[in-house]
Amino acid sequence: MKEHSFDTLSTKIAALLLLHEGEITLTDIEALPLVESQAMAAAIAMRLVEAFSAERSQRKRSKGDISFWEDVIRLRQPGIAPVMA
Amino acid sequence: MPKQAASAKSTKVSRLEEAIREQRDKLGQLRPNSCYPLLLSNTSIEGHVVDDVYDDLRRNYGVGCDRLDVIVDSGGGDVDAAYNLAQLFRRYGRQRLVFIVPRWAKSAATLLVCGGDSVLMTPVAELGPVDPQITEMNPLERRLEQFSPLHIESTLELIRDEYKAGNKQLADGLMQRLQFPLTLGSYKKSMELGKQYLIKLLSTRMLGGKTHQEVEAVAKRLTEGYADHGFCINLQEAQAIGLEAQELSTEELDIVWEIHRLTRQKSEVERERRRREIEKRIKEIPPELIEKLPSDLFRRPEKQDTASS
Repeated sequence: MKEHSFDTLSTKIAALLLLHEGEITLTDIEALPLVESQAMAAAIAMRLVEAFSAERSQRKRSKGDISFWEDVIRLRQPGIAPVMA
Repeated sequence: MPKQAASAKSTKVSRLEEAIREQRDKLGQLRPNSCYPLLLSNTSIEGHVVDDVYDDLRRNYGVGCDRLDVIVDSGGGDVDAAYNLAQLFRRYGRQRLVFIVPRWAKSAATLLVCGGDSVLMTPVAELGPVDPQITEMNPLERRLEQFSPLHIESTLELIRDEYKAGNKQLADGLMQRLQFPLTLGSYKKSMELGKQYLIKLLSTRMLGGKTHQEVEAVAKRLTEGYADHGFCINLQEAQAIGLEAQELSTEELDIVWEIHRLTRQKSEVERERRRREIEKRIKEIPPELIEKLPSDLFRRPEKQDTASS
């Protein structure tokens, strides 16, 4: 079994950005202060998807003939925090 | 971030993309096949990627071409999407489909490359096991735990052993921490899916000349035969388990490795740009928004399981 720890402060900042902007990308999370690795960013992303019942999808971010993508986490209803059980 | 600095960074990204394009074209001159780079890095293979790749292939090659090389850089994703993508690439590599792996084609991306006629690897390229991964929140220690359905059997065995040894209290405690039986059953079943897809793909291209038992053995090895999901299946291991894998020739290897290095550089430039932008974005968050954060951001939600490969 693998364990992925996530920093509490970074997760809160990522959650606030998600609430404020309606979406956050995996690259954004990797760029947050205190996020030390891609594995940590991935763990935060997974936690956001769960906590907000958010949608995770892939967005193409290149216009040329070679495609590049990034993972995007989007609130299903932007600006509305989910009611958690 | 000042506009001028942002523009300079974006020019740098454009230059790197152009350099990747040049290397792809160089590879196209060396090999008789069309070449499609599937450079996903840490982006998951999911439905949207399938849509975009289909758009690209239709635009580049119309209804199909005869020989196709696909350069894969991926950590994996959804196993259904990977299977769909493999079938799609087959339509565009009707006579010959070759997957080229500079560094990573792990997990569901391994299933994808098993859809080809052969796979070309660098000496440091890695494939990986195709067992699905279950992710679950550990609320006490604020971390996510990722495990394979392969661990279910060993956990049940551990509990059985504790009962046999007369440690009823401990065994009962472990039993209570286990998932709902139907959920456990569905986790175990999810492993079957990867194996079925592998058999379908391998038996119709890469291992087309082998018996069903031989193909099944390779699929079983890839889904159940490794102790950890991160196991490094390098060229030698890929050959040893029966995959049609070869090392790239020197000239091809130089180009493919350069594509890998350029892709990494591009990701780093983009990450650095994002680091500068994110500081500004954090300052724009209204302080009152903190009240809207879910109270159980660090607690276990009722429904928290996700499976991916």
